[in-house]
Amino acid sequence: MPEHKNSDRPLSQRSLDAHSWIGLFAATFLYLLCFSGVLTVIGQEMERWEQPGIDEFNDYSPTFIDQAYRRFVETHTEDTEHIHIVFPRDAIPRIVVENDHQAFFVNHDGSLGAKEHAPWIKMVIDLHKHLHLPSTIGTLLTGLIAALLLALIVSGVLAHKTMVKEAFRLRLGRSKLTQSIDLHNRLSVWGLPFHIMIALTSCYFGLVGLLLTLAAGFFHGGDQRHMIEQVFGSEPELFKQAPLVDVKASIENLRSLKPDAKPIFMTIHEAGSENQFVEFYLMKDQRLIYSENFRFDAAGNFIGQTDPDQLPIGSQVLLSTYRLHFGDFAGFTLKLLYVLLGSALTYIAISGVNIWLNKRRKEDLINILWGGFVWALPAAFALSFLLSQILNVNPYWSFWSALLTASLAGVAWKTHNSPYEFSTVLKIMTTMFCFAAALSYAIKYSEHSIRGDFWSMITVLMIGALISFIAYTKHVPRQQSSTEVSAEP
Amino acid sequence: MWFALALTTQAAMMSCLFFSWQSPDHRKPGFRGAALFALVASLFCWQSLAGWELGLSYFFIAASLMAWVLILNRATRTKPARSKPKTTQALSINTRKLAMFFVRLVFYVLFIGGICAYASIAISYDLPLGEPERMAVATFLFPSLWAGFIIYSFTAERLWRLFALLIFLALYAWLRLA
Repeated sequence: MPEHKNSDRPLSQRSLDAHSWIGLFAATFLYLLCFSGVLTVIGQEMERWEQPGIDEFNDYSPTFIDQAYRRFVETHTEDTEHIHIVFPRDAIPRIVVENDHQAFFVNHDGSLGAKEHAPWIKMVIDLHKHLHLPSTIGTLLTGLIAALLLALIVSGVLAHKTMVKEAFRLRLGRSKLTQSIDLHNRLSVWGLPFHIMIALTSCYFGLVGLLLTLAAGFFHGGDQRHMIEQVFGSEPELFKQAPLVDVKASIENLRSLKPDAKPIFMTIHEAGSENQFVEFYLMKDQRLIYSENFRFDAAGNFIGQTDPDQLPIGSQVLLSTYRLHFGDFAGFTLKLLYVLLGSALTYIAISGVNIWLNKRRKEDLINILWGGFVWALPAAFALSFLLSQILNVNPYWSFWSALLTASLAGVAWKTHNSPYEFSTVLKIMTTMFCFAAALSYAIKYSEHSIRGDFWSMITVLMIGALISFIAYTKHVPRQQSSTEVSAEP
Repeated sequence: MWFALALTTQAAMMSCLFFSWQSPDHRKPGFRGAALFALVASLFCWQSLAGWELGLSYFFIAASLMAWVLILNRATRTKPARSKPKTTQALSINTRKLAMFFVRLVFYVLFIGGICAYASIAISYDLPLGEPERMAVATFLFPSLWAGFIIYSFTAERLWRLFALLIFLALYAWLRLA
């Protein structure tokens, strides 16, 4: 429990205590979630770039999709509840047919192509969703961290009593601490709406499961399905449907209902059973809500439509969180702006702890562990990508092995008495890993060197190498950093 | 056209805010009034371009990024200040503080978090709303209450007030949900 001996201290000071305490607990998780979140924002594009050389096209006919579906069902007879067909979009102009177990691209000639294989970005997305923990626990933990982010934002605002007075102030060069404080505060204040939005939408993703369970238990006799149907809508009940869906007829009927329809994907629910039906998900213009849905039976007859404008306000709010959180509503340019703002939030998480460490009059194990961890994360991301490309090493294993080893190796490095900080070594290693990953990727996929997806991935890796190299060139020799100034905020 | 207008009016709004911040007190109201006018014009343009939902999103994102043009433009570069040496206690850690840290954590997560989860469900079901709205209220009320209580546990002048509030909420949730 917090000590309340000095209740005469001003609110801003007490809020700063709360801010420091919550920040210290949440910083590690926040850094993991923010960094992986920045990559997840461009996850669809990264998925495309990680596996270049796949046939890409935007035009398709209903017959073409129907044939691809039939080929997939004939070849992959394993039991599945759903079959999805993903249509080409700006982010990934490829057609994918998949069931609950595996996914395949469709070639330009209509045949089934390569198996979808982008293990690294899937690892990053899983890290962002549930920190690679079992799904329920991990999702709850991310919800908890999101609630703490909200607490950090509010306590930060309460603690920053000179927010308006310093709104445009940035002092560079005076001392590392002053510069960090100014950047931390300015980025936090000007990104406030974005940070609140990220915190609240993350809370939804992490905590809605718990709240649905509780509410269903108290008010619906534990019937979660009934609860979910009331909030998100129910599925139609169909009987005696044909074993194969007439995809061609359903696409044609969709186009007759909505001539300019550009579906994101379609799902066959209860696939192969006599209750199966088809659902198309279409992006709705000028709305954040995920999709406008059209449903058809197995013969392609129209059953019904979910118009976002007709949904209850609560459902509209909850269904708008995904696009808002991931910036998936206005193309790649907006995603890049999300990457910028997300990177700022990542920097805020790091600089918050750095400021706290810098203000202390001593250096101990926390300094070493934190300093190592900050640069161990990008190094682990780069190394896991490199090993996944060269040796097909499972990125989950390589990422966590690299992260834990690099984070803890700083302790051994300290006893070594080297003239360089351990973080400096990690910066060089990150540069080298990114560069090696770009080189190995270029060699592995050299046959696709005339394509945009090939060069996009190389560009991303070279940007990573450049950023870590710039960070290295700005490193401070150890002797100087150990006598760093302890300036006023 | 709406896009260019929206960006221009928003740039004008940010500039007015900046000049208001920089100028002497007697000039501030004028700049603030102009900033408010530009804000309304900018919101109107963004809304006309992309509707309210997307328009508001664009407005906030643009404001967050435009401010940096002004901040970086007037950033001051000064000489490094004198430095004070730090004592080094490598490989040492205060285990008592660490233990207290985790005790607090358990208190915040299990005790306060648990009460807030039940209370937010109870409160949302007492509101005259439909099921989806209740779930939306509970979803955003729960983290807000939780965050609020964590902060209040640090800022409360009398600790008993925190416990009184928590007991009241727990009782209310228990009575409502029992």
